[in-house]
Amino acid sequence: MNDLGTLQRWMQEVITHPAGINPERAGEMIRPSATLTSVQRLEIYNRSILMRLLDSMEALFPALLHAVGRELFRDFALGYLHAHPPASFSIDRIADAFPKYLAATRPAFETWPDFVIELAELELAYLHVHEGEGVEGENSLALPRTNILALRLVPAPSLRLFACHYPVHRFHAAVRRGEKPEIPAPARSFIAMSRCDWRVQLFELPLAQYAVLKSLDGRRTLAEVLDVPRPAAVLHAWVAEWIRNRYVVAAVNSLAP
Amino acid sequence: MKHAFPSLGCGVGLRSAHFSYVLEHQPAVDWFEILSENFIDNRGWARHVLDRVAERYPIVMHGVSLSIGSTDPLDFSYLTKLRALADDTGARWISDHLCWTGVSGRNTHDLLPLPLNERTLRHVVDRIRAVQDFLGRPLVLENPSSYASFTDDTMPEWEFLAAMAEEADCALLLDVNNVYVSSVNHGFDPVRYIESVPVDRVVQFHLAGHTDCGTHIIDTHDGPVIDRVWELYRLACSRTEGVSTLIEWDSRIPEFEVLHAEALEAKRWAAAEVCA
Repeated sequence: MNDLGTLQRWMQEVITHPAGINPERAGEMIRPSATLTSVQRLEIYNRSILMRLLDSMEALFPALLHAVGRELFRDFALGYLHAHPPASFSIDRIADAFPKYLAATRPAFETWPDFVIELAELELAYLHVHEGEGVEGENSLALPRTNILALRLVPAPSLRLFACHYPVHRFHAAVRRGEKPEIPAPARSFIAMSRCDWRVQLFELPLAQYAVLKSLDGRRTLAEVLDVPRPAAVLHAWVAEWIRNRYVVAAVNSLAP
Repeated sequence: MKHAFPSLGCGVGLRSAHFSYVLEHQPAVDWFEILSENFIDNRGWARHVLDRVAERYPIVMHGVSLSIGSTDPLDFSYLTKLRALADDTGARWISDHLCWTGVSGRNTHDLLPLPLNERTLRHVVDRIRAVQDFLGRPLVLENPSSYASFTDDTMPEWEFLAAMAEEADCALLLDVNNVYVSSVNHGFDPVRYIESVPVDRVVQFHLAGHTDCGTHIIDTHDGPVIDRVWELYRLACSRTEGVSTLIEWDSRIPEFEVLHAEALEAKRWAAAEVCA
């Protein structure tokens, strides 16, 4: 009789192998049925595991799937799953290292992989923001009328910022609307992702706002994180928009007693 | 044992495709079962919906990642989250499967079969006891559908389940569809299985559809319950009293009304309103 751990390691290796079932030892371990050989019975698991993981990857990255097509997407996903076998209890977490895998295996001297990697990063963040902490209900945060430079702005836990070479947010939004967009031409894009009332929102940002938002940490004042001086009226408009879009959840006046 | 598992009636799985419908219409369903892993660590819309549903309906937690049969150490981080979710939702009980899902730190996300012998029984019983101690409540384990059996098997599944439940003092979730699926795949008599399961340990039934591939059956949860499974369910109900029933439908999910109708059909079969 086989040791249970030895049997499980053998079976896992056999049924998760991307090349299919190695028949060696199958008959020794697995009983045939009236209709299937030992290898055929193991193949049921091999197929179902692979299909479940690939289906999940496709569900997690619908825009990337549309962008590169099913055949290339599955090539990416198979390579990734082989390099990063799932370990989490949640199948929604199987792709957490997918964008990094794509970046690590990108072809050199070509620019189109930037689009693939940036889109994968955006879609993974979308999932995390959708399932993570958000800001729900009315935003009661009021913008103080004076001393805007003395404000310490606290970013929302759901805020994600992206500096991309492609307008991946527009492509992503179009796919989610059920459209079939073409891969866009390169265009420097700065994007904010946030959540309001359980909905993930994407906004295009000017570089100046992106730079300031990227520096917000809840400890330093607006004066301390500004890259260049800005008129108070401009800052008021910016911060009002950031509150409205749920980029920030608190504005503390550092001069208040 | 049974006092800890009240009869909830006939319920359905809470799936994201029906979130809006359930919140808006508050259908007259007896109870909802959730897939635990879909809500652990979730602070988004799914968790909001679950909190609202739990205010109105009994909730039961059904997991797929406990991996009670694995030779890897138990994942106490996962168990901690499972316990917290049960506390938050007032879950009536927590169930998972008699299976393993991975080893060497991996999770295949499939419910893999165990060799059914004394050595496996000792291993599983020890782990069930540890999980029950940690959760502070009895665990409910389901018979899985399986597509392979081992040369190391020395006992039928119903015998393994009976010994496991008795020695670990745990409860059983009898998936009637899985009994049928495995009976075809392994060539045993499903009636004998149903008649041999220790009824005093059975606290819940599962019913689902499957896919007949000709040489074997796959447990796909993608359609209505077939008549042969309904008949086995009626047999199971005749041996038990007040056991909660749940309809599983996880793929090609229909409109909520169709799913609900299947739960109402289960009530008819349970009440022996459908003639043999």
